[in-house]
Amino acid sequence: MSAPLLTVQDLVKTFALPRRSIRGPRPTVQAVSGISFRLERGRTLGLVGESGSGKSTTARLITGLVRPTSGTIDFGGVDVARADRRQQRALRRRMQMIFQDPRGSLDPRMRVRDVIGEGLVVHRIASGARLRTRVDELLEMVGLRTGDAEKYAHEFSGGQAQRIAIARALATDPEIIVCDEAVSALDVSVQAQILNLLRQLQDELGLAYLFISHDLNVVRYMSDEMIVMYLGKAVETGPAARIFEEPAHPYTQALLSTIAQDEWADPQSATPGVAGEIPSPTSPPSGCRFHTRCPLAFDRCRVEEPSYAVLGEGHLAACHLSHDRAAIA
Amino acid sequence: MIVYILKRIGAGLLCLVLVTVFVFVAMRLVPGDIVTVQLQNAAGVTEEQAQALRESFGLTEPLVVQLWNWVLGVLHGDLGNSFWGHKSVAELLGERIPVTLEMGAIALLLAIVAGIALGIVGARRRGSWADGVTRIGAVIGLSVPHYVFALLALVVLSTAFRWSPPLVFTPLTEDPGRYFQQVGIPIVALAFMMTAAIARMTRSSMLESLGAESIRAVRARGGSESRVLLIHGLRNSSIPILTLIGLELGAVFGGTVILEAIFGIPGVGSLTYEAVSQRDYPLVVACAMFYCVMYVTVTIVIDLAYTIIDPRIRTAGVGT
Amino acid sequence: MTVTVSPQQPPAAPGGGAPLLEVEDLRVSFAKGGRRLQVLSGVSFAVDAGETLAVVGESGSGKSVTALSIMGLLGGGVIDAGSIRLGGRDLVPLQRELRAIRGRDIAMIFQDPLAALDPLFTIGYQLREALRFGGYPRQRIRARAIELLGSVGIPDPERRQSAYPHELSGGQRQRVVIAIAIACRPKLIIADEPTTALDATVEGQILDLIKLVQQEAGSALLLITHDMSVVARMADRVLVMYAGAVLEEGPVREVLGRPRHPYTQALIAAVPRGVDRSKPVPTIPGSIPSLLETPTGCRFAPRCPHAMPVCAAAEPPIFRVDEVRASRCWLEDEAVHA
Repeated sequence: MSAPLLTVQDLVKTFALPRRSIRGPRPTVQAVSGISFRLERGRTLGLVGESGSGKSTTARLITGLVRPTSGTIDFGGVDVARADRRQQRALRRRMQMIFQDPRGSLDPRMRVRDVIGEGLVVHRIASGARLRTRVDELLEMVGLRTGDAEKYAHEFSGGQAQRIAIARALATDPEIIVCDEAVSALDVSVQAQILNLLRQLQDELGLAYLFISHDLNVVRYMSDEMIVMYLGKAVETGPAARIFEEPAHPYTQALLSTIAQDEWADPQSATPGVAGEIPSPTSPPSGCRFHTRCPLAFDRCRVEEPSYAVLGEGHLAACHLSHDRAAIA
Repeated sequence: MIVYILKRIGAGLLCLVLVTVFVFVAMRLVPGDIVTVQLQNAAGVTEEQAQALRESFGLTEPLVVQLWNWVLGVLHGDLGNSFWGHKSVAELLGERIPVTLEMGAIALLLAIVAGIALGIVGARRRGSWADGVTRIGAVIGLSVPHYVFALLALVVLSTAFRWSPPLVFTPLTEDPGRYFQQVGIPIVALAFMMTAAIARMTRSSMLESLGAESIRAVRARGGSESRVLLIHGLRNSSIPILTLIGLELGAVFGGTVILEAIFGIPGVGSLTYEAVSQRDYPLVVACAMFYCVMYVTVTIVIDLAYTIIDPRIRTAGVGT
Repeated sequence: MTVTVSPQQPPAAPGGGAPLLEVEDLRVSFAKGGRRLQVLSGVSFAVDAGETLAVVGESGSGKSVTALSIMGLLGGGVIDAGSIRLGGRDLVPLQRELRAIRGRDIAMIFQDPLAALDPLFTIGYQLREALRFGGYPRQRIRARAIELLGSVGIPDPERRQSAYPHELSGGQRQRVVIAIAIACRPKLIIADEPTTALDATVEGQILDLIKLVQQEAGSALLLITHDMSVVARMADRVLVMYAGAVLEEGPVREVLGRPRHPYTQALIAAVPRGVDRSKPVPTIPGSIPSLLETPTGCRFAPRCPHAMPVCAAAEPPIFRVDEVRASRCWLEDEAVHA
């Protein structure tokens, strides 16, 4: 097992909100409240959560688009959070991102060739004939034709546009690709094609993925390891297969019940979902943030925020009940 | 909310200060002063006599001192006296303000009603002849300066109908007929330009709003077309229209200066024109202050209107 | 053993009696850049009173256009041919009179509740509007609106009714949209991707709510979705659409458990449910035909693993497999197999 490519420790991001009154402190919202994880070469870390979970903010923190309030992001010996401009540039080469809206993330005025080649030009990796060759190479890698290079981005379907986005991400030979809901806006059949492409590229190039999605089926297929986020906190982390098999945290259990396998055969067996709504990130509940909706909540949950219970094989869950389980195990 | 209003007022005051100082200084940089104007045709006036006259107006002091004295005066509520005739500036302004406000208000009302109506027609019947006429009219309205329009109208009406507007002012309350004969053309000239801009903005803003999913949802509930258009569509389009009205008002105020002078209307506009020609510094600065206050007030009112129309602007924080 | 029926007639909806909604050979096109693009090419189906029919498809399938055609909210689209009968009355020639039917007899639940509610008006106002359009007695509108908000699970409805859409959460907004839809107890509710914009944990609540209100009002539900699990949870019968045509129809359990049409099979397989991680996800090669292409023969043939020469030559009609199932595929035709 190689050393991790990316190590994130206690990452926190607080946003300031516009003032409501003249007196008093400025209201803030803590989008990410202490996330830690490791990303390894050739592996996929799945990041699951609903709105307000902080998963998108985490993606932006990792890629340096947003500066963290505290915590470290160690990428190959450099702390992304504290890197200067030159270092950041070098880091951007090695870490790329793919977004949810395939057509929205491509400049409609640029030809595909320029879209894919932009990274190469900006980082001065190639130019002229070498640039052209590399772009053609990338197009083939993602399953497009070299003839497509001269077209404009808006002429393509959603799935094809996402392939262009992937080619663009691969241009600088990155080690890590952050996929932020990369297949959520695609049709089911197209989604399958893109997932296969991503897996294939991972095998061929040894890429590490931070795969963010709200779709648990997709996360299950893609991820080696997984983090479940709720209101800025990681409530459960560990090997994905294990978590899907035996979810320890009540929130994870609730999420997984929404994709219950046997539901298709017999709807009566569909377990009732979670009650209530996700609280606003501006005023998270006291103690365990999930206690307002948790069917298993008891007094301690309201008061004390649970620490991580170690459940073996790298599986952690932030739940008071899990501590008892861990004690027994 | 209070914070918002206070901020706006603060910004407005700052604007007032900056404009006033600028005008104050700029006027004194323009060649000629009250003395040269007053003594233009007088022969045999010596340089010492001219300087003495200047001193009596306080014009020989350094610029900064002049400014300081004036500011002190204003803070005590004294806007100074007109160089020309020594009447109180405040009094002069006071006589003229109602006239200009009246004219401006009528023009504005006309423009809003006509502009929005035409804009709605244009959006509703896109591509029809009514739409085409409106759009061409709008281009004309925006391209032809208001005073050119007014002069053309004057020429046409006088040659074709042997008619000319009265040159002596009668207030609206006294004799509406004569009032509109004199003030009619300038009002229409002002309104025409504003109507053009408002119609165009209304049309494009409405077209955009009418394409929204929420409008389709109103139709899905069984809403009538007129309801969709006038209540939901118009309200959703109103913010850009309001912004435009605020901007156009600046043009209105600018327009009053020349138009009042041409048509002999005793408003702030013609007062400003006279004051500038005569280098009547205190009066010019006071007129500039008037326009600035008007503009700032309108802007603040429109900002408040935004918050009434769009609840999202009211609670300008993070939504759940 | 198949019974070949004339292509226009859909299989009889179960339950006997005249169906509530009967769509027959609906053809819809849009004008774009001087050309006419065919969006629906002969869609036929029926919905019984009180039943839930799901319409499943990917982009370009025409499922949303079908819903909008029924409501008469096509915008730029034109119904070229076909009929839409509600309680026996054909809605197609009635475009102007449809206003009276909308909201009252047919109601719609939209995909994105934030977009479907006017941000400048309170939710109470919009709900009262719906009641007013539906001809509810004026004096009782206010009370009924509060009642409706309560029935869809909005806490403290009396106070909340003066809230604006952006002040509510996504789930609550969708509840308001549902309340507006059922305000006049419509006979048919059309729900267009009602939970796509919502979080997973809220989705279940909203689906349960839709089922609840549907049963209480005794309405039929036409559920448009791309998500098979939603179909499984909510629908009695399902219609599978592709590129403007219906390819398969039948009871949900049967279609999902034993799909007959190759497209349905591929679509179900393409969702990575319990897929072995070491293998690729089964995909459908190629892509959805664009509107500019006018295919001859079966529209799915270019991507179909079971394509035969006849598939490229002629478009298959709907074959009724038995009383409740149908599939538009030459594989169903025994004569072809021979």
